[in-house]
Amino acid sequence: MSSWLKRAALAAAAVTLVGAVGLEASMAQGDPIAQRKALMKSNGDAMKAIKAVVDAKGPTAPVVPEAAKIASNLKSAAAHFPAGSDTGDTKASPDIWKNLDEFKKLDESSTAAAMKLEASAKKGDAAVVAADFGELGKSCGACHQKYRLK
Amino acid sequence: MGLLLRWSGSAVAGLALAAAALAPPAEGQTPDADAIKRGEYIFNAAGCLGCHTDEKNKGPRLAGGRALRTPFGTFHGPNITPDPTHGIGAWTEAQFLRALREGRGADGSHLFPAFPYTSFTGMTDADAKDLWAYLRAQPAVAQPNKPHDLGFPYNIRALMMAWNWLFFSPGEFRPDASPTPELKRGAYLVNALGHCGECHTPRNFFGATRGDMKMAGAVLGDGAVPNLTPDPDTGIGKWSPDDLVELLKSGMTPEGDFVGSEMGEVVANTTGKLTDADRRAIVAYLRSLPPIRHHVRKPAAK
Ligand code: HEC
Ligand code: HEC
Ligand code: HEC
Repeated sequence: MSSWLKRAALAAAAVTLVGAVGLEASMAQGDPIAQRKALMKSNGDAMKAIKAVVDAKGPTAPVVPEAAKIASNLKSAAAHFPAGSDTGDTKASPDIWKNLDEFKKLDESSTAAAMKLEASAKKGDAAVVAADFGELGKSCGACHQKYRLK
Repeated sequence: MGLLLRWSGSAVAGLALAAAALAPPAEGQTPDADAIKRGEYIFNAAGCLGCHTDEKNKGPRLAGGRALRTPFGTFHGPNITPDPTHGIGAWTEAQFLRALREGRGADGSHLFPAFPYTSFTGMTDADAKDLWAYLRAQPAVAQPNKPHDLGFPYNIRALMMAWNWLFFSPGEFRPDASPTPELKRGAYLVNALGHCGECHTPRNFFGATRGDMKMAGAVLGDGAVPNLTPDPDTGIGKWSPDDLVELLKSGMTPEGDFVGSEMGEVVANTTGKLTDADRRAIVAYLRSLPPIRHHVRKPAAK
C-alpha cells in the first residue's frame, strides 16, 4: 500500500470512529432533540457522499451503504419526536404533534425512497440512481418544508 | 378575361388549400396555447401558486384561503381562478395588468402589499399578458373568499394610498447600470418575478422593504431568513456558484441538508422549475450585489 493510500485509509477509519462515538455519545444522553439532530446530521452527511458519487457518473456501488444508512436512520426517526420535545434548541415545528399521522407518513415515504435508491444503486444504472437520488432529496425537503421551522 | 378570372380563382383556392395544409393542428400550437405555455413559466417564476392555494387544508388550486400571517394581521390569499363571482373571471386583461403594476383591485381600490405588487410592478407587458392567458386557462372554482383578519388601522384600504406614496415606485423593471444580459436576466428574475426580497430583505416600521438592506436577511415570523448578499461571514460569500445553483434546483445545501419552511416551498414551486440558465442568472446576480455584513438572529423562543 502506498503511504498516501495508508494515510487515506487511516483518516477514513478515524472519521468513522469519531462519527460513531459522536452519535453514541449523544444517543446516550437520552435527549431526544440531540438524538434526532445527530441522526439527521448523519442523513445529511450520507446525502453529501451520495451526491459526490452521482456527480462523478461512475460506478454506483458506493451509494449502497449510504442509502442503507439513511433508510435505517429514517426508520427510527419518528420515535425521536416524543410529545413535549418541541421546546429548547430545536427547529421542530409544533405542527408535528398536531398532525402526527402525516408526519409519520412523510417519514415512511422518505424511508421507502432511501430503500429504492439502495436497490437501484445495487443494480448499477447511473441514470436510475440519479433519478432516485433526486426523489429521495425531494422527500427530505417535503418534510422540512412542513415540519421544520427556519 | 374570363380565363384570367378562373385562373386567379383557382390560384386563390390553391393558396387556401396550401394554407390549410400549413396551418398548425388545433391542439397545442395555436398562438394562444403558446402564450399559455409561456405564462405557466412566468406563473412558476413569480410563485403565484402558494399564496393563492390553501395547500395545508388541501384546498382547490388557486381558489384562495391560504392564511398569510404578518405583523399587521392575517391575510387570506383570494381566489384567482376564472370563476366570475368568486374569482377573477369577470376581470379584463387591463384590470389584471393594473393589479400587477399598481396594486389595484378590479374596482380600482388599493390592494395590500401582502400581494407583492411592489415587485410584480417590474414585470414586462409581454410576461404579464402571457401570465393572464395562463390564468384564464385554469379551471374555475366557485369558492368564496375569506376576509382578512387585520387590526386597526391596517384594515383601512384607503391608507394604502399614503403607503404607496411613501414606499412604492411603479413601473417596468429597469436594471441599475448596464450589466451583462445574464445579470439583467438575474435581476429581473429576483426582483420582478421571484420577489425574493419579500422575505430576504428586512422591512421598516411600515412594512416596506428597506432599500439600504437589499437581500441582507430578515426576521420573518418566528425565524430568520438568511442574508443573500456576498458577505463572506454572514452572507453567501463562501458558497460556490454551483452550490447555490444546486440549492435553487433541489434545495440541497453543501452539508447535505435540504432547505425547509418557506424556502422549501420556493424551491418546490419556483426555483426548482426554472431552466438551469435562469438559475445561473439568479446566482450571478446575487453574487454581484454589494456585500452587507448582517447576521440575522432567530428571535428568542416564546
Ligand atoms: C418526517 C420528517 C423528516 C424527514 C423525512 C427528514 N427530515 Fe431532516 N429534519 C426534520 C426535522 C423536524 C428536523 C429538525 C430537528 C430539530 O431541530 O429538532 C430536521 C433536521 C435536519 C437536519 C439538521 C440537523 C441539525 O443539526 O440541526 C439535517 C441535516 C437533516 N434534517 C437532513 C435530512 C435529510 C438529508 C433527509 C432525507 C434523507 C431528512 N432530513 C429527512 C424532519 C425530517
Ligand atoms: C406573498 C403572497 C402572494 C403572492 C406570491 C401572490 N399573491 Fe396575489 N394576492 C395576495 C394577497 C394577500 C392578495 C389580497 C390583497 C388584498 O386583499 O388587498 C392578493 C391579491 C391578488 C389579486 C387580486 C384579487 C382580487 O380579487 O382582488 C390578483 C389578481 C392576484 N393576487 C394575482 C396574483 C398573481 C398572478 C401572482 C403571481 C404573479 C400572485 N398573485 C402572487 C398574495 C399573494
Ligand atoms: C416566502 C419567503 C421566501 C422567499 C420568497 C424566498 N426565500 Fe429564500 N429562504 C427563505 C427561508 C425561510 C430560508 C431558510 C430556509 C431554511 O432554513 O430551511 C431561505 C433560504 C435561502 C437560501 C439559502 C441561504 C443560506 O445561507 O442557507 C438561498 C440561496 C435562497 N433562500 C435564495 C432565494 C431566492 C433566489 C429567492 C427568490 C427566487 C428566494 N430565496 C425567495 C425564505 C424565502
